Amino acid sequence: MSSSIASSSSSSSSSSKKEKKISLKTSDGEVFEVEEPVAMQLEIVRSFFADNEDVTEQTVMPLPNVSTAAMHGILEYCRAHEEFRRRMPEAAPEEEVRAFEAGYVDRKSNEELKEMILAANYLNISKLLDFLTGVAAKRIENKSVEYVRAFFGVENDFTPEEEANLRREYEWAFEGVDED
Amino acid sequence: MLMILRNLDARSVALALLVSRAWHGVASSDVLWTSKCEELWLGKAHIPRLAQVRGLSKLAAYSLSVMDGKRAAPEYWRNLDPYWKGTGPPMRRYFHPDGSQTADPGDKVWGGHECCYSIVTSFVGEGKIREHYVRINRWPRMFVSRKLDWSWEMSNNLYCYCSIPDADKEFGTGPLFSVL
Repeated sequence: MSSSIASSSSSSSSSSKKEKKISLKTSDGEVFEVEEPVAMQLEIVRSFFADNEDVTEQTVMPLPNVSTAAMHGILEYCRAHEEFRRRMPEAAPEEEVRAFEAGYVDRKSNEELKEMILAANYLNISKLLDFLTGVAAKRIENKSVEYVRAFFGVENDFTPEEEANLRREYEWAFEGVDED
Repeated sequence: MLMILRNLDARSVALALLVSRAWHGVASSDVLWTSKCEELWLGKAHIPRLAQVRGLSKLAAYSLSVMDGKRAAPEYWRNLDPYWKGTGPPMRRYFHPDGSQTADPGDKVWGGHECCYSIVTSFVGEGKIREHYVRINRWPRMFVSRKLDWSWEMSNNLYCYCSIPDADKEFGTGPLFSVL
């Protein structure tokens, strides 16, 4: 595992205790300097640093399954939650969190949402993953089969006959579906 | 994907079955349908026996139950009841002392099913009665009352039974069996 770690020969000494940053490199080569508590919300990062004693602060952790765009979205979410946690360590200000999450996800297209779900799954951020899958579910709830296929870019590999059979079998599910 | 489907209602998961073969595999998993069955069956008076067969997938059980629930039973019974349609006399039900119940031969609603009744009386003590009703099968309790003409009536919100007048009265045929 450690062989895949690229060491960055950048900044000063590791003793700068001001705010520890962790460097994460996305699939398209961009390096993100992330505050430690934020980065630690990414379970994959947390366990990487916990399990490897020989990694240092200069270690750049490569995340080959995460695009830069997805990373921006993920950090925005994690930073906001870190902020909530810092302000109210006991209990999160629920209403504020909900307001943030609603606004946050409204700005995300279906494409971005899908990309972020994959990234959150890979990075193992259970809170974000729960949230995003809930949002995706809401976006496809009550929608037609065709809509769901288009949403996820899934190819229909049923034969027309099989599909007709399934439609007959689950006829009860087809009442009052939104077509758009 | 399973995580997204977990957030969906039963109908939307059923629709997801038709998206593609891979989706069908995930969307038909018992993990998703076990809780949906429990939810669906909660508080229901009749659950089709077929749906409770062991080894049946939870999706099949759910689907069977929903379709059975949509069977317009009251409509069905009403159309067979000649009295309701105004084409014949009321149907007869005979309550035997051994707790069984029978109908006239050729009674379409009866359909040859097994039927039993019991009289439920619960005492609070000191000879006081708390509840007193008749239970037929698992139907809602039936309460017995006496009408002005001294005939008996036994009813709940779905059904109503009237006693048959004595043999020498109008509409009376005399009890073939002992009648409650």
